[in-house]
Amino acid sequence: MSALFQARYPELVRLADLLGADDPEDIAQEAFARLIQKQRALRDQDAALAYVRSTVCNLVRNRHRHLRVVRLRTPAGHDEASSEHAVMLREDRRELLAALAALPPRRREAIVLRYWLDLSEREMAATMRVSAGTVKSLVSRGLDALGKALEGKV
Amino acid sequence: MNTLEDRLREALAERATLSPVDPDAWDKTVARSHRRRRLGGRALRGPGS
Repeated sequence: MSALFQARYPELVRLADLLGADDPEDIAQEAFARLIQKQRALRDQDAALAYVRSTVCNLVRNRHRHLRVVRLRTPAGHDEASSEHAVMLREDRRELLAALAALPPRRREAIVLRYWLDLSEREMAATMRVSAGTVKSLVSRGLDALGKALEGKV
Repeated sequence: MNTLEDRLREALAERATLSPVDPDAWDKTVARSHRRRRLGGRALRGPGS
């Protein structure tokens, strides 16, 4: 478990960050804590990695749901385009990431898993717990939405 | 001109490098898992629990 953690923890923190988590390390640590409890039930290292990736996606989605409720009472939330990290990026990349952050959560997940982690459709389907057809559709719709959002900007 | 897919790969790769990683993360994670075990699998805190 320690070896998997050392090898993959940074990747899981970055995944949570790219999915828009407000505390990516908390998400990654919670996902690994759950994996530690579950590890005997998982057949191998690949299954463990798929489990922890899937948990990160679920935890970020749940966190966004929670924050949407909180923001109904207190506006002004996380804005990718003006976050302290984003301001260090080139303007065209900042715009692209801001458009990505505005996508519905499932489309954003699909885009990040495909174009950052380079997962296959099968791996994405296992991580997102949806069918391969749904994965294709989410990526395609996500790309369409990004293209439209960027029209005239770049 | 790069395709949208190429630009996505580049932007995500660059943005990912900006995520900080806590050097004590393993110890914190093990402690968290012990707390979860004491509570029978329920998280003491943490998002989405």
